[in-house]
Amino acid sequence: MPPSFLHQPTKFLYPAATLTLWLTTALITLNDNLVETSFIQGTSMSPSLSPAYHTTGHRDLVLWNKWISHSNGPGSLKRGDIVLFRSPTRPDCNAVKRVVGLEGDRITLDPQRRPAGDSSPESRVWDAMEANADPHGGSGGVVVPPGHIWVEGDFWRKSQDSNAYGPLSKSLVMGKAMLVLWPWERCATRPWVGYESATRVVEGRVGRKGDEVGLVDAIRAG
Amino acid sequence: MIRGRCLFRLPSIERVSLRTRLTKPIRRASTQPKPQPTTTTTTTYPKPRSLTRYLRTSPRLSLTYSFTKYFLASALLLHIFFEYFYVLELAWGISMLPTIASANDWVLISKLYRRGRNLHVGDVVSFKHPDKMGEYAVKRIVGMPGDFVVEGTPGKGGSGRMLQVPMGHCWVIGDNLTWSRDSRTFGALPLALVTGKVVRVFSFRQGWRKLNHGLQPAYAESDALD
Repeated sequence: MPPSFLHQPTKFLYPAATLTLWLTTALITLNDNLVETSFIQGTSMSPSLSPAYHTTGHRDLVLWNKWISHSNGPGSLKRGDIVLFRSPTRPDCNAVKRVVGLEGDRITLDPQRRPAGDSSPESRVWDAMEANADPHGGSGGVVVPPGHIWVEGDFWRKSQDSNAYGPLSKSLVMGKAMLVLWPWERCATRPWVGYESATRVVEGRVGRKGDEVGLVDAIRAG
Repeated sequence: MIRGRCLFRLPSIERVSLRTRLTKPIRRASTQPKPQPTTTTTTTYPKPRSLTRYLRTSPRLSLTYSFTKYFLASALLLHIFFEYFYVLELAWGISMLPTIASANDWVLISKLYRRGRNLHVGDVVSFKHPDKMGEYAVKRIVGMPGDFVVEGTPGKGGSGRMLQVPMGHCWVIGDNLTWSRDSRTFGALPLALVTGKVVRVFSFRQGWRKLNHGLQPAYAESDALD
């Protein structure tokens, strides 16, 4: 009689348990360090990602590169990248937004993107940023401090982004979008490339020693 | 024939070999011809063998395989343990001076408190630095979301303005107030940057020691406090 699961359970349970343990640990380590996939919930990134979320509820599956550079070298974040980060207001939630400004950049606040409400905390943050907007150089706007970026959703009407909580610390960023994996029609594409954000950004000088330049810029700005 | 004359008992291996030699079938001229095998066109494949049996054929291959396996397994498990449970790290700097020495002190960080879970005012936490990417710092929590904190250093100038710590943030201050760059410099810290809580401190001189709560209720010496 051939060996069966009923007659010799240990003969199958042991390899199955070993394989499960190997796969789980390898997947956790891979997700922490190299790549991760996640669905895009919400409409804040439409039309780039999950454009049909508000009608059909279809979500896009995105592959994230988590091996990102910690410096201002060639492998670091750029304007126009889509980033995955821990929400600064809700620590256990992740958020997905577009990088609009890097450190040292001067962002002109868009009144269209002001968070709704007269006395909500978000709108008060926005009002304070607007009031403290730096008049240096005649253009005004918010200067992104060193080690921070300015993130915004593509859908200006409904997006909880830097307009609500200010510049985002780069340490919160977990990954950078590589590809869309699902739905099948848009598999292996990058639909966010080429989108022009309407927010006006005066680019700061971020060279190889971007930290120092950004710091100098921030000090000059007061 | 040898077996019968031998005075001593031979070792078992030789006995076996002798026995096999003796029990070999003796070839004799058979009267009946052997049946000739019919020629069939069947392809024969080598018997499938498992990877481990194949690796057992070469000791060098087998050693490499088992070494790689155990190295990979320990690396994966250590990563999970350090990332999600506990990690021991060397602390450096003078910002936590009465509590943690400026050098040669190791801090045991419990990752169960990561991202601000179950944290309270008075806990010493380790966090990713919000301004300098890739750097970590250890400070004490003075305000949790919704608490009111003083913006500057009490009694050392500054505006003395009270701030409410925003949602999802905390206010961290070093124990060495004069030489510490903390929330007074970079503002409220997002709780998502907190990697864990310091539960024990180790040094080779003093061994393991617990951390005291550090925040006692303040007593005024006189009632002339307006």
